[in-house]
Amino acid sequence: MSRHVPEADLALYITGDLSLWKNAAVTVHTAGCEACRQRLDSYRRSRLKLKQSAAELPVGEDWDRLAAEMTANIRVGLAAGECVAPRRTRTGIFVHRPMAMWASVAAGALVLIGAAFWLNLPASDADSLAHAARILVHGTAHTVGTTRGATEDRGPVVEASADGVALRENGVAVSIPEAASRPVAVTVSAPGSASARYVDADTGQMTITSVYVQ
Amino acid sequence: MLAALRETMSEAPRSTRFDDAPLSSERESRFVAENMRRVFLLIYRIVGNVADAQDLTQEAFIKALQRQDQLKDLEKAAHWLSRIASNTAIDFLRRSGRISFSDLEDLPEPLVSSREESPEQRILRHEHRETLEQGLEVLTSRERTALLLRDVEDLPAEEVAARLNCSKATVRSHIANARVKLRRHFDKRKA
Repeated sequence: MSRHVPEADLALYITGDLSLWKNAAVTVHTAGCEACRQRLDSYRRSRLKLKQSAAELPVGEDWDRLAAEMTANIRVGLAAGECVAPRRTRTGIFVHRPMAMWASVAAGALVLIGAAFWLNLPASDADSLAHAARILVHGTAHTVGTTRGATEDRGPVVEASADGVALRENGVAVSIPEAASRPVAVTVSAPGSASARYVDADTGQMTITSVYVQ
Repeated sequence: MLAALRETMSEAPRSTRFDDAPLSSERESRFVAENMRRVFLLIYRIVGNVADAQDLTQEAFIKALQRQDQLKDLEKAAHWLSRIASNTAIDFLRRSGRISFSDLEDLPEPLVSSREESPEQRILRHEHRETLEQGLEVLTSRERTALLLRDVEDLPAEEVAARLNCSKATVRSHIANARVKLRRHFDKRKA
């Protein structure tokens, strides 16, 4: 090896990316050369600085806002993908594949638990579910009659109707209107989301509106 | 009333039901939340600006969740996602054929400080970030990508070569050049 180790060799040595022969040669040389040892330490510090700084967000960015935007856009992207090419079966690591026998036992247990839950449901929660059912049946956000204090506020409520999708809380509503279209399907699901697909009668264009409460 | 609800839901066409909507699975949501920051930062360091990094991060997660049937081992999910993310960023660089870095002067004033820190610490952190971003600017896109995959993602050189679709010798050359340039940049800034 020449008087000092070449820069490229020192740069690769710190992560063991040199060949066996060159690695050994650098080890032997730096054991006796203070200058090369200092340059080696400099490369190690530079690499550490890169790892530490790379974990920092860009200057002036609010991560919570960024993450919320990206999460929402991912949902929309997946929903749009489902629209174009619905998955025939859901497979993969995130979906359980129970054996058929245990699946039927679990389904039966769920029906029993669901019935017990419904019978013991508090009045206000029963009213919420009933309201969701009325939306499904009548396709409107208007309350049909009131039962057992259904008028009191119960936190954020998402409603989907032929007129659009609205988020209501404490008497204030934010809505995404949909005009000049006919609804194809309106669904409301727990915990706190509503989606509606609208088809323009003239152009056939489909619009998907989804609101999630988090 | 329960019977009426069941009847209504069973009548709804299956393709419009959102009870099996994407991200309805708690595990999928947790997967996204746990990996989003790491994936975003990796892509940001490769492409160099926030707007593109945001779009590409979304694209990477959508691809990953649409292809989750290809993944059989949950323990390898993070590594698999990183591969999708880096490939998405690399493909973007190939398509655009350029590197775009935000002009540092144009970046907005900090909106939120996520940690309790003194003004001096904040300035120091700002300087470190600025130094790194300027240092990465002097690298070619392949040098920068190879360096980030090797030193930030801690991937072995063979894996980096596979992702960049080049030989191990070429990747070593990229990594060496990148480290030499970055070290010179840091030393110059310190001086």
